[in-house]
Amino acid sequence: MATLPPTVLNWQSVFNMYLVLGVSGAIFAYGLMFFYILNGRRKSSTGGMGVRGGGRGNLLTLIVVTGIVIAAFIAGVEGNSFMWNSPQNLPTLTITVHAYQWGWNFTYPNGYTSTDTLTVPANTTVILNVTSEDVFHDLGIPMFDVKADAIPGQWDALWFVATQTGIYPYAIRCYELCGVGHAYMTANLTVLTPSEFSFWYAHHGST
Amino acid sequence: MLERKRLYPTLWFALSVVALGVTSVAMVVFNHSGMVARLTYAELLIVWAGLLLVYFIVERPFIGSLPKTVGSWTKRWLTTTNHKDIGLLYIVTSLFFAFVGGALAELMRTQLMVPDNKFLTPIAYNQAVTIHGLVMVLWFLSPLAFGFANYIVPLQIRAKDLAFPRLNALSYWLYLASGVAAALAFFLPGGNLNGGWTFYAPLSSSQFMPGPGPTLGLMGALMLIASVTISTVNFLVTIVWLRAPEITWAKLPMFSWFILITVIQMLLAFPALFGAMLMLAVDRIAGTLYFTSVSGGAALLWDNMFWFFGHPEVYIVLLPALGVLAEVVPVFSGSTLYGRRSVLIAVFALALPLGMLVWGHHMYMTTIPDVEKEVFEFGTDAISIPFIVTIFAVIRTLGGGRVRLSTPMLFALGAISVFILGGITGLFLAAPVLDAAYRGSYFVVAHFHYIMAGTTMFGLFSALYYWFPRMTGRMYDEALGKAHFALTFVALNITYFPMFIVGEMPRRIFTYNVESWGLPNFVATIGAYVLGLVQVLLVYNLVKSSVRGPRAPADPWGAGTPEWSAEEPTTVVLGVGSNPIHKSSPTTPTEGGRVAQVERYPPSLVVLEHVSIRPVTLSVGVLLSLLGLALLDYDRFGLPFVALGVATVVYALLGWVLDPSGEGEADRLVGAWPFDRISKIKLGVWAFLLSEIILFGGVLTADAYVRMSDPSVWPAPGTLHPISLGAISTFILLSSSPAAYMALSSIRRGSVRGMVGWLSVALALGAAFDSIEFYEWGQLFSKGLMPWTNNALSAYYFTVGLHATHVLIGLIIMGYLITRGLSGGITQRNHEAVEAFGIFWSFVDAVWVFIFAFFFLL
Repeated sequence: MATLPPTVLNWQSVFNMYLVLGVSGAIFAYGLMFFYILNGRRKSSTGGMGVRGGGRGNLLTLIVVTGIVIAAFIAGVEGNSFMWNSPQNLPTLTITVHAYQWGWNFTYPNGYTSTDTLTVPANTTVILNVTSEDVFHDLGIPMFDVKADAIPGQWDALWFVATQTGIYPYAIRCYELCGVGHAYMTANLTVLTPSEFSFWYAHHGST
Repeated sequence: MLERKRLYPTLWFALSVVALGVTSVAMVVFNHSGMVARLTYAELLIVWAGLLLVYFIVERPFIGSLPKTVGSWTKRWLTTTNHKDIGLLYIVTSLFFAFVGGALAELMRTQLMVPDNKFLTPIAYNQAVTIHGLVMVLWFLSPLAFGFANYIVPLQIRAKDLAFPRLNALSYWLYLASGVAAALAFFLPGGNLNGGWTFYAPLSSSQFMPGPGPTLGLMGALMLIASVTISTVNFLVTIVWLRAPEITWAKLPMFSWFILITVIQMLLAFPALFGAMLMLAVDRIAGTLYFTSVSGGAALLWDNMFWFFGHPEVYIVLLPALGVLAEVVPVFSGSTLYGRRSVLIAVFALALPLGMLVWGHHMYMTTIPDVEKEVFEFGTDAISIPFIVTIFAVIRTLGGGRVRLSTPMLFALGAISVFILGGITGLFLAAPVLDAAYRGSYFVVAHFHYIMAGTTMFGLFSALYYWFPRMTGRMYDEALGKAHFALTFVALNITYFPMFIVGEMPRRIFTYNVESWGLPNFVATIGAYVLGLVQVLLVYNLVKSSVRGPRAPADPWGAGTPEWSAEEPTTVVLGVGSNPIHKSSPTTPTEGGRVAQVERYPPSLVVLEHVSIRPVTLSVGVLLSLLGLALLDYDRFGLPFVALGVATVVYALLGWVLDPSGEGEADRLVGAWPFDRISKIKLGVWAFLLSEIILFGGVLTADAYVRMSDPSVWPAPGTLHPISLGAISTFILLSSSPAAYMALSSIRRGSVRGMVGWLSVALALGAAFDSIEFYEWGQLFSKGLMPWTNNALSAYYFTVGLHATHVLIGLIIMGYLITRGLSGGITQRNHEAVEAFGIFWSFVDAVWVFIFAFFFLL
């Protein structure tokens, strides 16, 4: 039960690779810089103006960096396709989200709406179809590493699978400046077990 | 009878006093109770008082005993067109705007210091966050870089000045006036812009951000872009054209190279923003629908247009700083730049095409197709390659010789250090999957502050210390400089590194209620206070050293680049009066001794070729007109402002074209591949037209986008107005192009009469064209078809109006050419103006073909 959500696992696998590449690149660059500085401090001032070529050295940098960047790109593309395709092997719940100044309106398939709390079942693919009624907003759920822009006149989508039940206050936030209420444009997230959710859902229907 | 010299100042004084009095009386008598009305009156009073203040500054009626050099001092700085003076003005003004942007940042950091703070209201915070971003990027970093460019580039290429010195002065004064406009906006109803520096549609529309304040802020930005465009053309022509024969491309110093690459990128990026902001301004003032119409795809239209400019802008700001690194690091490493030519190739590739292929990475979470997102991901990954090549070349330069750690070098090394961190985090942001966590969060804020406030600011501070001896003739205080570096470097990291730690906190929220975000925010705020405070060291050092610093040797760093060896005279010659005064020998005062010799200024401030007050007047006129237009948004009160502003603009322009310019001197011919056979002015016109192509291309693309998003309202061809009339007007306009060509060919043969005749024909045809366009508008208005009726009409009015304005400008230029021709100002050997006009006019005609096809035929 305590496994991480798949979107988070996907995010972390790409992140970790970038982190390794980035940190090693940074260590190399800082190391080289400090080596040259310390070395250059020891040189005598009577050496005169050195003249450096360097076309080949830069070509070498180009080749090595291109290789690294292509690796990063491929990892990114794999992560993207996971993020853009919701899993088919789990039950699916699709919820419509209307963003407005300043809040979220979650509409369930049975017509039930809520503005302060998004209630979802665990281990279910939850798809949020997001749009806006007024200005540009962005719905983000940091605990799942997912986001979707809420754009007036357009439908954007994201998916996640919650793996841990619980009540998460302010788990949903707006990530695009949308006016004076931007800071307060939050919503809570409640994750129930599938059976709890069925019970809850049956008692919050349109009837 | 007042003598003529006293007449204008006295009139100025009388008018401002009367206006001040009338406005105060009106304010009391009409007893406006509304907040908005009172604010408007207050704004008016500020403007009148400002005008009055100018009188007192320039004329100083009560302190006539002051030495006359002080008056010359004011006039000198108001009327100078010398590139060094303009450079210094840019540097000082941009540092002032850094203070403005910094003060706003301190307000924001104070608000965010602890959770649930109540220091600022949400609207105040939103204004602060917006103007902080705009001011720091557009009014501080870029202008500071171009202050150095103004001062240093002509020296590095051994030119006497920029290609168009008066236009250069105009750039500066427009820049200053645009900053004033953006600052005045705080005090207008509606407050300043408050949608973030990206002002996403439709939040920036009148519906969600009402009032003249935001409109004026927007006008300020538009004015700034006009200034930037003029500058861009000027620098491009200068570097291509005015290089001394010995400064070949291969010998061009790196800073000038980087400025050249920067202006090329500016030429491509800024017109797109100009188009978008113009649409937004017209939306707000005249009611078109570009960024309000949901069915027209407003939000994504703005996203695309803004970021098409917005991401290249990052490189526009960054490249001059990298140019400084490429200049400073070799000098202090006792070496030449490692792989100079390959670095240049990399930076060119970075600016073009890669820089133009990355804007979509700001739109990963929007609804653009996934394939597009991956193309932009690839572009963003790819652009890191030339950056890494460049930065490694700079690092390897360090290995060339003995490293000296003077203040400029310390700042350069600091820039490299923070660039490594900022650049690597940029790679993270290139991946859409990772962006799902980062978009709109403090991780992004931390990243771009490492690039902007870190790399760019350090690079430019390095330039400030490096060229300080060149600009003042004195050395700065080295110990203070090193202390300034150490404290700034530490404070910068204390400020921005915690923002990586609160990476999940949304940007631009004015408060938060999460306990765990408290500590990093607290630390960041302390860092921001220190960062702001230690800049006192910089200001103190600059001021103190420029007055009392030890004299600097000719080339204190042993750099050997041309700017350190240029000779220059030591006397400043100033004309008194508004007309440009041609350089005269310093020892022969003209006009009965009214030329002041100012010898106490350091040698860097040199002989003025000519002076002109027109740039100042013109900028003030534009400022007043725009203020009036913004006020119209709220009240008819704007009309007098518009009238006054337009009158000032006309007065300044008339003076401008009638003044002898001193810019007509024969061009120096150098082997300027690929421009062997092109004149200075023509190259300027072509460069300007390139930006016009981007502008019209952007507008027509936006029209096409609106049309594809909402094809249903688009009228079938011939229903809006008869195709036949459109075809006739097209025919009329197109036939004016050959007439303009005939005018050129006449003057080439030496026939002034022929030229005047053909120009009159072209003028008549152009006027007929514009009349038909406005007749058609009248027809539509009478049918109740307004710009806000639907998307199609909105696009039609805007695009045709933009084009008709260009035609109108062409008509004015033709009127000017005819007048000059009749008075003998254009001859067989001096007809460049006619040729330049012909190029512009052909372009205007050619654009119409596209507009006609789009709105009348398709």
